[in-house]
Order: sequence, then C-alpha cells, then structure tokens
Amino acid sequence: MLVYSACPLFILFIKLFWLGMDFAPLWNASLVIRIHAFAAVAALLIGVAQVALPKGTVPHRTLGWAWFVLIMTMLITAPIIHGVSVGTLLDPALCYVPSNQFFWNARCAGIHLLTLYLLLVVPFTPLLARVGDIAAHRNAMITIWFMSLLVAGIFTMDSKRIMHQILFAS
Amino acid sequence: MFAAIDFVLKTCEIYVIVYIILSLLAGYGVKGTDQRWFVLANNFFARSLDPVLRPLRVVLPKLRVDPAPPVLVIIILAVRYGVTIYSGPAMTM
Repeated sequence: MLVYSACPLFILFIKLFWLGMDFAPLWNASLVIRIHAFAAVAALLIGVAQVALPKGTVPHRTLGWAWFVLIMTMLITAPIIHGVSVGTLLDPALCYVPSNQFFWNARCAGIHLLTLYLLLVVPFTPLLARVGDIAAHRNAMITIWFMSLLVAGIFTMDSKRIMHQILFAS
Repeated sequence: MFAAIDFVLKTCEIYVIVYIILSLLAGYGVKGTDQRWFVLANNFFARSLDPVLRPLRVVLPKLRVDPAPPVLVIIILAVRYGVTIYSGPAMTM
C-alpha cells in the first residue's frame, strides 16, 4: 500500500524539484478551486502518513480527524466548482437525455455520482473505529483514499484542467 | 403522475437522510443525544424504517455500523433517476 501510494508522490517531488511547476493557473483560479486543491493535496499526504504511522495512537486520531475535515471540504467544494450545489446531488439532475433520443442514451456526470457516494459513506468511517470494527475501518479508509484521491486525482490530469497545467507547465 | 412519484420518493429520501444524521450524531455521542426527545425521535425513525432496512441488512455485510441507510438512499436515488429518465426529455444537467 505504502509503495503504491509513494510512487505518484515520488513523481510529484521529481516534478517539483527537478523540472519545476507553474502554480500560476491555481493562484488565478477561483477561491473554491484553491480550497478544493489544497484540501485534496493535504488529504493525499495525510493519507500516506496515516498508513505509515502507528495506528490507534493520539497522532493517528488527530491526523485522522484532520483528514476527515479535509476530505469533507474537498467533497463539498467538488460540485460547487462545476456550478452544482450539494443539494442538487440528491436530485436526479446529474444525468440528461440528448434530444430526440431514448432514455437508455442518458449521459451522467460520473464524478458527481462518486462525490455523492463518498459524501454518504465518509461520515461512517471514523464511527467504525469508534465501535471497534478496525478491519472495516481500515478497508473503508483505504478504499476512500484510493477512490477520492488517486482515481479522482488521475482524472484531474486531463489536458484541459488546472492540475495538468501546473504539473506539465514545462 | 411522474412528478408525484418523484415527490414521494424525494420525501422518502429526505426521511432516510434525517435518520442517517440522527444515528450518526448518536453514534458519535454528540452532547445532547442522550436526551429523551432525541432518543424518542431516533427510535421513531429507526422503527419506521426497519421493515425497509431489514431485507438490506440480510444482503449487506455484517458491520458494527449499519451500512443499510446510505445504501437505501442510493437505491431511492436510482429509482428517481429511472422515473425521471423514463418520464421524458425534460431532464437537464
């Protein structure tokens, strides 16, 4: 797990120190995007630290709650960036049927459906540790870390997006 | 007709979300959740949703935290999507 999570971070640091990154697109972006990006990067790094550090200790719990706040911030700001309110996620408004086509041609905003799923699931994960179901807590946390930060993070590398402009500025 | 079905489903969805919030507050032991009115409200929601949640609990993995309510929200939302998409092209993103 640690090896897998360290690989993209190693590439990130190589880019940061050897090739340099251009943060101008991020500073020029709106406040919501900056908050979202900061929360995502911080949660990614804290997630790696949580896997490496001893479990059940005070630092683990403190960092865990910090991670929880960051991930919730990231999830709440994610739809707002696209002009979708959090309440809209609970309505069937994330799909549309192109005109003159049948309902099976409906297209959905998959990333917002992932956000909704994570918003429903994430609040339960610290509770699992609290009631002593440690195996379920560990599995849930690792799954959420992968889905919300690595999988969603890979999609931010699309050539039209700000993270791509930052990382591949040169 | 479809709008009425969607309204009923939306009400059910909000009902389950209120139950999720109440059970989370009780689970985390937030101050005030041991008061009588809160326990009564939480029990009311739990008992009213139990017939729907029980079949889900049979299928879902056994955890010390009940995973059925969020799954029920996802199922209701999926049904709402089905109803709205089937009802016509009025749907916009």
